[in-house]
Amino acid sequence: MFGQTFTSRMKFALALGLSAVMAAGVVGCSQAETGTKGKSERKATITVSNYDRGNIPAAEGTVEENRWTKWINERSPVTVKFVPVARAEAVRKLNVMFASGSAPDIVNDYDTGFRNSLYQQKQLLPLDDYLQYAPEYQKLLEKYPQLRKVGTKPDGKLYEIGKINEPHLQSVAFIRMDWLKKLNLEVPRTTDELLDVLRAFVEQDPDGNGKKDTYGTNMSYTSGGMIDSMFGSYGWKLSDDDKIVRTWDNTLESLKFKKTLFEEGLIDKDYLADKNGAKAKQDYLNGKIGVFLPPAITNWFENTVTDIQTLRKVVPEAEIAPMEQPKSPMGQFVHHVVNPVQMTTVINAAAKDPKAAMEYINFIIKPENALILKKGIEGEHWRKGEDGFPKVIDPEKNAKELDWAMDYSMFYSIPENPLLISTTAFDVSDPDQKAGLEMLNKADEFLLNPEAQYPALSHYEHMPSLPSELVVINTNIDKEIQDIYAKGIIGGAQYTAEQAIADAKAAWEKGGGKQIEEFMNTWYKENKEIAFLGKDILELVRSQH
Amino acid sequence: MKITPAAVGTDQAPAAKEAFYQTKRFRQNIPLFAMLIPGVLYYLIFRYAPMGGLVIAFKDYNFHDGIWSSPWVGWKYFEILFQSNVTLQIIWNTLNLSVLNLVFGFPAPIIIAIALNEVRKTWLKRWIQTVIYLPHFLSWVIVAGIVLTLFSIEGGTVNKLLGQWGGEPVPFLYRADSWIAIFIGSGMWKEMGFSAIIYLAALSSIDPSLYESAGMDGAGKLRQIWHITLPGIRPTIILLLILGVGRLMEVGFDQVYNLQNPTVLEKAEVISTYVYKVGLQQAQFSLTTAMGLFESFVGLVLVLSANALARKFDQGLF
Repeated sequence: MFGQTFTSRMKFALALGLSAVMAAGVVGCSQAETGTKGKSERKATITVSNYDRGNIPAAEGTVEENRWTKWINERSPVTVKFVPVARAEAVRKLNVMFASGSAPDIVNDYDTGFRNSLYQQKQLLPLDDYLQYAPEYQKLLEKYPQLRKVGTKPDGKLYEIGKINEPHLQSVAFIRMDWLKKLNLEVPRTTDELLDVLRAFVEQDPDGNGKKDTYGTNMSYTSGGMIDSMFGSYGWKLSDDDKIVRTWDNTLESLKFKKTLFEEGLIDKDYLADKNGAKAKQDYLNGKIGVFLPPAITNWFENTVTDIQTLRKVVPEAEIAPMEQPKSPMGQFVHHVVNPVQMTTVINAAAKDPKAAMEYINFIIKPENALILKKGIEGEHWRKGEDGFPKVIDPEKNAKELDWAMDYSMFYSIPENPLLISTTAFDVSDPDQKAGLEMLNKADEFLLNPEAQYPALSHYEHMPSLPSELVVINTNIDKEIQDIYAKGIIGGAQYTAEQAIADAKAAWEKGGGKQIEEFMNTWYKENKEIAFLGKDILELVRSQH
Repeated sequence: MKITPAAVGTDQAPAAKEAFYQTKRFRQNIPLFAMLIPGVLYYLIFRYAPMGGLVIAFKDYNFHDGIWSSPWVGWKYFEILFQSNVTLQIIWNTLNLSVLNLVFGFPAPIIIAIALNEVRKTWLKRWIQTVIYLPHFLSWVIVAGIVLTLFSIEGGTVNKLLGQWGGEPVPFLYRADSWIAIFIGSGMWKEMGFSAIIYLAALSSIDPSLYESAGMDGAGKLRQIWHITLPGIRPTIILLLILGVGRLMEVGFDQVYNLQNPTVLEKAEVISTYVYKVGLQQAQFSLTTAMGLFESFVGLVLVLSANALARKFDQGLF
């Protein structure tokens, strides 16, 4: 018995010893390997997050592997692995990746609140010591001190990489001029006139197919925000006595307007089921929507040329024009504008090779590389026009091969490269593109209306970020209030807009909203001089035109 | 008489304890023990180890300090939980939806199983069974799509039919009461066929001679069901009821997330969807962990009390 146990124990010990030796051997080998790797000329490897918008044609590959990632990896001084992040789920996905320690080295996200929470949780790498590896960005910082100001966090260090944007509208309403002409109507100047026009678009069969199958407008996904901005309903505004107050009155008017749209069937009554705005866009391109409110315009060429060509395949006589925000009972507002100084990119504090990360950023923002990532290859996707600027050869080919790749260079400052500016993309010898450029110019003019105010306290990316204890309060009340508003729109005669606002006010008081108001006002008092508010945005953008 | 088995027991116990792994019984069963290991490991790694993470319900969790070094805050998040209207409403919604689910969803498979059991033609029985358990294999995304095409205001099949009969379209999906009915109904439609399988298995174990003798004594179909079928599957029913009560605080995430929309959120937001939206989206990990812990705690209490109740009728599970 004893002998047996002894020998089996011996075997066991031997096995243990053996496996330990083997493991040591493996470790030894791998160490030797990395040693040689370091000496040879192999590139460092980094990981970079990239939005997955679900718009890459299957034949082109995936976010991780396609013609542009190959292009980048062939030329870039570092090897890049792209980590796809679904656009609509970006913050959730990245939060989970940070919590599990698997976040990429370079994180690209537009959400200021999210990047702030990463800073507060010490997940970000201060970039000051590494700027030397990105001389292109250093140059940009010298040229635009605002970039440094906005990218610097309360501890005085620079954490964020950002970009200068072109001074255009974030979105603009597109109205069917052919429908207006057919029904003998004018472009609406006020919100009441707009309602009348929308009613006519729904009831008088503007597409002439004998069916009542047209919609006045759309408000699914974020398009509802376009209506809010007609009324200056944003949540916060400056009062006459220079305090930050809630916009209850503005929201009431906006809510009444939306309720009318819903009750009179001027929009798709199932708009809540259209969670990403795709159905509305499809309706518009099929010629079923009279006043289209795009959730956002990221590419003017696409919205004013490509989309209209698509629409004309269905409705050859379609005429589209951008429409100025109608004047509402609360005053005249402009549309939201694209954030002129926008932060996009941070580096993970856990990044193993921050130098390589900065070298990668430097590589992407070199003008010659950004040109290819934004416009494609010369002779294949674009050619030089008579004016010397790149013109698209075949929009359809670009839609298939290029247009989905914009996020790889999302931290590039387009105004820095004259070849990339939106207005030069249009080939004026082509009548469609000439019309597209005119639309863009007309939309820009809306900004210059001296009467118009900015529809929000500030661009949301420049709003102060709440301390963490207020975030919980804000999240909960905001949720409650949004639910109340949704009910206010759909609730019929029993639940009026006035009742919804009264309930929302009560929920705000009860949930601790006063604390948030106090915070906002203290912040305003202390930062009045440096805060980047709506009027500053308008001033800056107007000066660029 | 009474002493002997006890004495034998005490005689054997120390011997067994001495070296159980050396006994013949152990050696004979080594393959069985080996097969047990993956199961035990699964529960340790994926069910027990993650429970350690629950401590963040009592901490101000942040990425930098991690789970173990984040500062303790005691009951702070539970206080927020029970002071906020929103979170209380969500806990209430969760309970409301799952009680309704249990009340309507639990008897459905039993009724179906009994009805199917009475079908005499085997081909018909098989055919019905296949058709009704097919929906179980559809994902909730697809079922939500079907619900939308059926009940939306414009173009929804139900509203089209209503329109043909001259009725006004009804916003089924945007009114709390009808939404809840659709929610419960779609869950029943999807799962009842599949859940009936276990009852059908239990039914097949009832001795057919019982029915024969009952028939001879003049008992009709209903009497037979009441006095033979139901008592025959009672242990199965109680077992599943206890398990069902244990899940009372859970509403399946997939189902509710895919079906809900902003107008009915007041009634349709449940713990799992709130954890997803607020916990992950807004990085409120500690708050939502507190909520999840509370959910599990109530679940545990419910299971124990359901079992205690069942034990009173000699049907206890443990």
